[in-house]
Amino acid sequence: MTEKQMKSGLRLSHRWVGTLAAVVLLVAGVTGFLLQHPAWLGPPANLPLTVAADPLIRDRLLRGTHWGVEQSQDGGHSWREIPMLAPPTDVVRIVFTPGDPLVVHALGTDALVVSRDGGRIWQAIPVGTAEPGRQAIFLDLAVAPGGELHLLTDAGLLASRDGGKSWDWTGPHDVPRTRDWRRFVHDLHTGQLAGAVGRRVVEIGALALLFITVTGVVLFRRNGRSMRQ
Amino acid sequence: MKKLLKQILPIVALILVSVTGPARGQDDLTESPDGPEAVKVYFTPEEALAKVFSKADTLWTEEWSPTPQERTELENRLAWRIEEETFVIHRAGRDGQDLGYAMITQEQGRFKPITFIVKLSATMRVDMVLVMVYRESRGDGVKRQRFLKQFRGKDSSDHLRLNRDIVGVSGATMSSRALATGVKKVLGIVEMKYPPTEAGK
Repeated sequence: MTEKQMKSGLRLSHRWVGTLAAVVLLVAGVTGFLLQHPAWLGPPANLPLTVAADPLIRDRLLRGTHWGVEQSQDGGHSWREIPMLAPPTDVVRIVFTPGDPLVVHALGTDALVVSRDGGRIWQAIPVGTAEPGRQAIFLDLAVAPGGELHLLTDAGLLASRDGGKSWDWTGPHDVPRTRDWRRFVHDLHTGQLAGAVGRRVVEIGALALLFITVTGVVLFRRNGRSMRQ
Repeated sequence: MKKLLKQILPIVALILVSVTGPARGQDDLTESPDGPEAVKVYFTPEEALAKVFSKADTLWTEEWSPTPQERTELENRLAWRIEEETFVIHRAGRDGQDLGYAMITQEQGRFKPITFIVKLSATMRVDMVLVMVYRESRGDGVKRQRFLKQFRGKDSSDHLRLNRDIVGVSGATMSSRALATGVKKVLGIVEMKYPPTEAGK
């Protein structure tokens, strides 16, 4: 193989590998851009996550979904959303208080709400986690017969003996948590790590990538044509 | 050298636009238990009312303390417990014509409350929403009209559910939800106080 042939082969492989890299970068840019505009991807699916039976009313069920709380009056054949003012999302637990089933709690991953009339009127229960600058993720809820609340979070177990007015940690809660790398990578990818400015830079960068890729393809075709001539 | 400058200048300009673009508001950096807190005041109450009622020649304020029956009805409508005892509703007119209603309200964001104004038309539809005070270091994208203009034209029959009826701001879900909750609450309160027949619906 002569030096000329080797250079030509290297140039050709460089072009194709370069094109592949450009495509990968373009996909990264476009997906980053789409993550900035989630509306274009449509709403997330409304998956049911939990269900609870009303101990007082036969065939009445409540279920937690991604969007909030739904109820069924016919044993689960049909469901209707409870249109509360500020529904929690990703409702992972619904609990009728033992001994006082008119008091119902619904736990979302970032909010806890309670109804004291069986599920008609609701209100939020603020959960002070004493975690500077960080909102704990709520995982599960247990309600004792006296109304005592036990809330499992990703930072530890919280308990309230006054219906949610005050919260105390039960046991160790200062376990050092590993950094949420998924969140970090997502924020880096979308530019959210640097707030609004970062998002704008990523949007401009994605458009720049699109421009570079398109002009690169045009130049690639032109160069190939001129080489063949 | 000139060629190099020509290449670099647009990039520098682009970066400057990106950095200075969103800035409006006075940053008052203070420490809080939740970490550095950035209290950004975008509108004082006077500025906000002047903005939403820019065409008004008369402005007045009405206070409403609902009776227990009214409170129960309001709670039933919203399926939500109402804590406030009294509501302050701003009204305006021009040449005897009703220009609508406005309420300054506050809803809890991720860690801190967000203060905003909701202006309704005389026919009880949302005309304008403005974020007046934002108290957290992140998530203030909700102050932009790109997000807020989604509320325009909505009335009390709209659910205003996040990411279904209203698209939230990426990275500011809790703040977006707080705004949607507040707007829905204001619609319920004002419509309860001034029933549609009285509002000329």
